[in-house]
Amino acid sequence: MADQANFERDAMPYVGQLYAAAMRMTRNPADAEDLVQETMLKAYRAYDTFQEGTNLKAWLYRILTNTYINRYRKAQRRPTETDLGEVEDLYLYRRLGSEDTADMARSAEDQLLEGLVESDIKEAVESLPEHFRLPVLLADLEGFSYKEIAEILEIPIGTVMSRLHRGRKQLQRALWEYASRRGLVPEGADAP
Amino acid sequence: MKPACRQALEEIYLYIDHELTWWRRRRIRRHLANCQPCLDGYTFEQKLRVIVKECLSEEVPPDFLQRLQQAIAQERGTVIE
Repeated sequence: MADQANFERDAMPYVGQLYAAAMRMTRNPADAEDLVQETMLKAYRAYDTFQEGTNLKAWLYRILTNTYINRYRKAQRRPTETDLGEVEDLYLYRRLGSEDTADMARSAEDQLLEGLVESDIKEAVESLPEHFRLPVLLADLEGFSYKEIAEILEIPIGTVMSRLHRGRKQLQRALWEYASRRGLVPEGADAP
Repeated sequence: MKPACRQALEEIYLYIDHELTWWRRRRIRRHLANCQPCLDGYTFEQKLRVIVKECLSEEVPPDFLQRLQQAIAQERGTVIE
């Protein structure tokens, strides 16, 4: 069992990552700070139950997501869920027409990837419904494995995979909207 | 689309996520080495993943860090009492 006296030494290095995830969960700095503080205090109180040598980062994220779900979720408007029936894999790449016109398209890809600004990507992630947003954050921001995400969110691994898959598709669709508003997509590619 | 390409693209996210067994990894790696369109699609996804990750990082406000440390110290005080 872990020693509470070591809590700050062990857990404080994760605060930056927890804060970044909390920002995308709550969508504003004040709530993100509250969420991280509550998470860290809960973790401190429970630290003597933490099995030393096991995955501290995953343990902290489990407290973070549970705290978020229990405390903040109710207060938030839920973004409407769009039907993803026909969204294909590699959505952005294919919308750019990259499969057909190799040379021209390669510059179109770079134009899109370089032209998207930080706020576009943050907003696109925040626009995801929560059951997609949490797995996407845990995988793409934090690099957790499917198994770790399943344990953190307490859902089956198959559910993690399908939510991650659909969440990323929806993220790409949102990014396409931002890119097209910024004029980053080639002419004609924007036609439905 | 060729069946080999379809099969590779079906597993491309699992490949990027390092969630495939070594032999399925190897099968995809071999396909990508021999198929430029699939390699381009993979490269695009990989770059996008890096950009998303970079853009989602946040600077922790220094005054918040300070408040957090104080809150933990206070908690420690109450636990000892």
